[in-house]
Amino acid sequence: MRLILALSALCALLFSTSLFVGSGNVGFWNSLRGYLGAGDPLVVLVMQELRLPRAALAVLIGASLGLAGAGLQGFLRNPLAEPGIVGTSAFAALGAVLALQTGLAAVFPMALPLAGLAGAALSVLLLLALSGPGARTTTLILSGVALSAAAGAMVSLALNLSRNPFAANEMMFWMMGSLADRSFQHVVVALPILALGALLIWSSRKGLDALSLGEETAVSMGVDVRRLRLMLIFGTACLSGAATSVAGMIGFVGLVVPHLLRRATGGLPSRLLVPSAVGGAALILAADITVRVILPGRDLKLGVLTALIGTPVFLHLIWKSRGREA
Amino acid sequence: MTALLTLRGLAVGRRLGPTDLALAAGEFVGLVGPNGAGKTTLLRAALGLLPAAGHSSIAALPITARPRHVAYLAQERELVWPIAVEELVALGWRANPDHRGDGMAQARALSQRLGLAAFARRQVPGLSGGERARVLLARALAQGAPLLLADEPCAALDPAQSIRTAKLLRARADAGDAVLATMHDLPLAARYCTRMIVLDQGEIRADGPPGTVLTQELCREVFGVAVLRHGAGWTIAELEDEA
Amino acid sequence: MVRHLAKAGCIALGLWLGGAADAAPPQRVVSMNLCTDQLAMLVAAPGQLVSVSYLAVDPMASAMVAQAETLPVNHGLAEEIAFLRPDLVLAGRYTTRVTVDMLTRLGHRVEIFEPENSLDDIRANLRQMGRVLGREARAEALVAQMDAELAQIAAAAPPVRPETAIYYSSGFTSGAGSLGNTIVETAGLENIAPRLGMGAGGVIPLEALILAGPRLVVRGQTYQGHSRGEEMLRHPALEAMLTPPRAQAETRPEWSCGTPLTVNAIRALQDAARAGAGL
Repeated sequence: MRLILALSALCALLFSTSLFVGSGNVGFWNSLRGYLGAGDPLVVLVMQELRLPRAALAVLIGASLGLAGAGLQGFLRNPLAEPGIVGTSAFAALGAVLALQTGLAAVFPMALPLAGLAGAALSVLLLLALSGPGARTTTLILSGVALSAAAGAMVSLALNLSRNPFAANEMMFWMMGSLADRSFQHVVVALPILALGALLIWSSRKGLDALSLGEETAVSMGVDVRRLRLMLIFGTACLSGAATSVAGMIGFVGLVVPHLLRRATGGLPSRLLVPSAVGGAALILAADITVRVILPGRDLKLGVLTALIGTPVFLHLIWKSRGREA
Repeated sequence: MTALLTLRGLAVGRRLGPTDLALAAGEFVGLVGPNGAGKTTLLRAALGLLPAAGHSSIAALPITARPRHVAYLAQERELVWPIAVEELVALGWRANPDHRGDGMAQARALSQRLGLAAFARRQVPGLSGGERARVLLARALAQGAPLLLADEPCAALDPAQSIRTAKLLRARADAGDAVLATMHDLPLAARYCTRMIVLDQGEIRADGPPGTVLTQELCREVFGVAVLRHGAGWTIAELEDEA
Repeated sequence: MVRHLAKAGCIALGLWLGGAADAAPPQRVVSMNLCTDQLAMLVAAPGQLVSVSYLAVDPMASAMVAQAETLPVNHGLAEEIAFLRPDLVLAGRYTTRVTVDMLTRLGHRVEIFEPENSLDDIRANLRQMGRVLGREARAEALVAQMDAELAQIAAAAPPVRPETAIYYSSGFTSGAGSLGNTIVETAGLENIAPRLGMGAGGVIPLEALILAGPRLVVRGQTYQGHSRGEEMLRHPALEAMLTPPRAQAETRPEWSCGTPLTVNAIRALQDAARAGAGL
C-alpha cells in the first residue's frame, strides 16, 4: 500500500512536470494561466489541446503497458513475457496500420483501437499455439522474435503499398512509438478499451495467484483455468492493442516495471498489478519528459528511450534464467 | 461411513483401465506401483484434470466447489515468483470458499505446527527441494478440505522428513480426513498407510490393508523385489534367483 | 564472351555517336520524372512525346492528368523504357542513378533536369526543355506568358505580408530554398519557417506552429487511404486555431513541380489569403 502511494505521488509529480515541458518556450505562469483558460488564446490552445492530452495519454499508455506486462508474466509464468517481446505490440501495430490505410479509422474512430486489439489478440493466440502456457524462456523469446519479425514486415509492406507516399515515413513511429501531437480524440477512443482490459486483468488476479502454483493446482484450487486464460488473453490484448494503436510500439515498459517492483510486492502476481500500472505510468511520463528535454522539437521516439532502459534489464533476466533450464 | 471419493469405471485411454474405488473418512491410502503404472493418471483423472470416461465424484463437482472437498499436491514443485512461505500457505487457505479473510494468521500457525517456522519468512524459490516440498504440502493442507490427493508427498525428502510426512498424513486420517497418496517407498507406505492399492499397467492388482496386499508373489510380479516383514516394519530386498 | 562484349560495346558506341551526331529534333521522347513529364507536355510538339511517368496520371501529384492520360505511362524501369525505343530520355536529378546509368550504357541519350526550387529554376528548365526538344520558340513563349502573370500577381500582393506556415503530413514543412517557399513568398506572404530556424525542409512540432500563430496555414492535400501523419493535419488544436481571422489553404498538385502552372498555385494561394484573412 505504501509502495502504491509512493508511486502515485511520483506519478503526480511527473504529470505536473510534463504539463510544463514542451518545444514551445512558454514560461511557467503563462502556461498555468493557459491551463486555466486565460491569457494568450494560442497558449491556451497549446496547453489544453496538446500538452494535457499528451500527459493524459502518457499516464494511460504507461499504466496499460505496465499492467499488461504484469498480467502476461503471471499468465505465462515467465518474467520475460512482455507485449513487446512476445510480438503482441507488433501485431497491434499491424492492426492499427491496416485500420488507418483502409480508411476505416477515418469513418469510425473506434476502429483504430479495435483493430489494434484484434491484432494483439491474434498474436497471443499464435504465441500460445507456438509455445504453450507456462512457456520456457527460450521458446517464448524465439516465438516472440518470429512473430515480431512477421508483423514488422507486414506493417512495412502495408505502409509501402499505401497509395499515400508519406505513409512509408511512418515506419519509425510504429516501431518506436511517440506521444507527440496526439489529441483528446485518441484518449477518448482508447480509454474504453483500455478500461475493459484493466477490468479483465484485475478480475483475474486471484486466478493469477493460484496459477503461480501451476495449472493443475490452480484447477484444484477452484480456478476455471480455461475461462481465466480467455480473460487474460483478451485483457492483455485490449491493453497493449489499444495502447499501441494510438502511441505506436513502446517496448520494455511491461518488462522493466514489474521486474523492479516484484520483490517489493512479495511476488504474488495479484499484488503486482496496481504497482505495475502506476509504475508504468511514471516511467512513460518520465521518458516523455526526457525526450522533450534532451531533443526539444525533434520528436525523439519514446521507444528509443524505453529500449535503452529496458535492454539491460532484459539481458540481466536472460542471464539469470540461463542456469534454470540448461 | 460416507465415501469422500467415489470412482466408478474411471478410464483414461490406454493409461488407465476402468477403475472403481471408494475412499472413506479415516483412510490413508498408499497408491503404489512401478513407474508408468498410471498412479498420477488416476489422481489427475479423479480430480477432473484429464478428459476421462466413467465417473469421479470430485470431477462431477463444479470447479469452484471443488476446493471445499479436495486439496491436491501436484508433482510439479517449481515456483517462478519470489513468494514467501507463509504467503504461499495462505493461498491454500484462501482457496477454500468457506474461509474468510486473508488467512495469514492461520498460515503462520500451520507453518509453525508443521515445523516450517525456521524458513517461514523466506521465499519459496530459494528453498531446498525438500523444504519446498514440505511448504507445498502445507499449502494443500491449509485448504482444510476433508480429502487430500497427494502425488509423491515424500519425494525429495530425507528419511527423517519422509517419516514425518507419512506420520502427518496418517494423523490426518486418524483425525477423520481421507488421504490418497502415490508413493514409491513400499516399507514407508506399508508402515503408515491404513490401506494400500497396487496399480500395474493401468489396473488395480490388489487393494486392502498392507499386510494382505504386499504378498511375496505380487511384489515379485509387479515390482520385481522381495518383501520381508518383521513385526510392524518392512524391508525390501533383491530377488534371490536374480542374484 | 569477350567478343560478345566487344560487339555490344561497338553497337552501343555506334548508337551513342549516331544520337550525338543527329541534329534533328528527337521524335520519340520518353519522360521518367513527374516534373519533366509536365514540362515536356507543355513544350513538346504533338506526337513528339511517347510516354510519361505513372505519377503524371496521379491527380494528387500531377497538374496535367487529362493530358497525361492520352499517353502510355512508364514506371521508370530501364527495361520498359528501352523497349519504347526512345531517341531521348528525360530524367530528373534524383531519378534513380542506377537506372539512368543503365540507360546510358544501353546507348540512350538521357537528359537530366535539376529540380525547380525558384522561379529562375523554372525559367531555366523551360528553356532547357525547349533546347533539347528543338522547341525553343515555344519555351520562350511560355516564359513570357509566365512572367506576365507573375507581374499581375506582384501587383495584387497584399500591403503587409501575412505570416504563413506550410504544414505537410507528419509535420513536415518547407523553408528557404524550396519550391513551397517560393510559392508562398511570390504570393506576397511571409513564410515563418526561416524564423523558426528551419532549413529547406524539416519537421515542425505542432506546439511550435501554434505558438508562432501564423495568419495562414497551408496544409498538404490529404490522400485517400489515411495515415497517422495525416491525422496530424486535422489535429483539434490546429482546427481550433484556424478560425477567423486566421485562414487556411491547401497545397495543390502544382506544388510538387515547378512549371509555368505553378503560377496557378501562387494565384490560388494569394486568393485564399485575401479571402480568409480579409486583406
